[in-house]
Amino acid sequence: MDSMEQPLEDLVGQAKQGHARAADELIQRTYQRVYAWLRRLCQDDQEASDLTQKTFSRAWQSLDSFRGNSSFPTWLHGIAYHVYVDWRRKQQRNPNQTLPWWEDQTDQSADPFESAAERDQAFRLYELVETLDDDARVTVQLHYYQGLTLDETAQALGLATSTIKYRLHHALDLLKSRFTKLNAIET
Amino acid sequence: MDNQTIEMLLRKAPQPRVPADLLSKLRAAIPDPERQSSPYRENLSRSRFRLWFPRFAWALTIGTAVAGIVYEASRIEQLEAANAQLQSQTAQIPALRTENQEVRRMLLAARDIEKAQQDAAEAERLRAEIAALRQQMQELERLKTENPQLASQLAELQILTQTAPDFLGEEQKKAERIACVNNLKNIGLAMRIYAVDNNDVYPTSIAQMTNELSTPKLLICPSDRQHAKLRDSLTWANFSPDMCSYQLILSGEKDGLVPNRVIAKCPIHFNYGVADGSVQQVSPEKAAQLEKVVNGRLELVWPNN
Repeated sequence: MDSMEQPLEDLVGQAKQGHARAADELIQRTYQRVYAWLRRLCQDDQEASDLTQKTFSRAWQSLDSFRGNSSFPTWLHGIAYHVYVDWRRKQQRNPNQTLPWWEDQTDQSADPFESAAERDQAFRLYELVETLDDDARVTVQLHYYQGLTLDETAQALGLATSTIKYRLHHALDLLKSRFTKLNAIET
Repeated sequence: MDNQTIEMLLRKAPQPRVPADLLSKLRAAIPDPERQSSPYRENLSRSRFRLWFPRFAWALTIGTAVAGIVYEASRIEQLEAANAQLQSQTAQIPALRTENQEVRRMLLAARDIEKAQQDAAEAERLRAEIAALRQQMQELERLKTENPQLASQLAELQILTQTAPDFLGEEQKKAERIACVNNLKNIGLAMRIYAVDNNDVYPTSIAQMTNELSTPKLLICPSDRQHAKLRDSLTWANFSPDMCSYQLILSGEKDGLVPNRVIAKCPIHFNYGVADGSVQQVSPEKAAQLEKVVNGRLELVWPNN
């Protein structure tokens, strides 16, 4: 069986028994999402790279404690969030504002937007997301950017699903009102 | 813009660019299962432990049980031996009981003997005390008979003592009278010395004569029982005029011009110190006849004068 088609749960089981190839496969299938989220959180390429390595290092150390109650990516996002929180606590300051991640994308051929207008709208929206408070921003990023379901988002953050729903509903209301105001000012 | 559009745009969010070397770094950080510190190695160790632990546990349990059975068996053997020994000792209990009763009886007898010995010693001591008391009673009877005789002898002796002359008392009085004369002579001499130094004028107080009179003890008559006890400790420092036994006539005049003028008088012995320095001893009856007041001053005037 090709390892690419192997379920993540099987790969995790093999990695627990010391199979380096399974671990390598797990990295290939998850590291980009982990990096992407950490890059959005800390807003720095180098820091995101370091935090991604720390996340996987911590994952290997505690792999034996992974019981499969959630999916492996969800569990990995939970670890990444804790790594980020620890890093943020040590930083004692807000992350450095570097080039926005949505400006930094290189794969222009895979541009998901249908038009330049939609692209502008989307980038403006991403800017507004960055203005949300930490809890709402993290929840939006996990659910919409990272593609986790409501339950997976709740598991990654260690919260109840109802809390996630409330946060998202509140965040969307805020984004809508701010977006409308922003357009009104510009016109 | 509605919520659905917002959600759609958010889901279309592009992924940030991943650094090219990140994957290789992450691969390099995969723990080597051969290394001792690797969690994979630990996992393998844990797996082996999980494999062997149940077998070890069973072996350990059975071994422990066998050891416990062996130990208990040895304990049972020891207890059986101890039980047999106790049973053999139990057979000797009746004999030991009789022996114990005999010993108790002998102990009681020994105590009785000891008590009887103590009683005998006490009786002997009491007999000795009774004998001593009887002897004392006899002595008391003898003393009772002697007592009236001695009382009568004492009464006779007292009668004899009362009728005998007091020779010792007379001698004492005579000596005191002579000492009184001596005192008055010294007092008169002191007054005269004072007068020589003060234009023949005699002193007006005793305090003026402290340089001329060697000691204030001379101012106490030996027969003056009231002040006699002060004599031994008397000095000019603690002397006061009311301690003086004599009647001093301190005129402050030229008494030396009248030889018979009295300058000091002992009211006990009726000794008179006169201005010429002599001391006259007279009886009380005669003193009344000799004392005359001339020009307001006391003088001794003899009949033949």
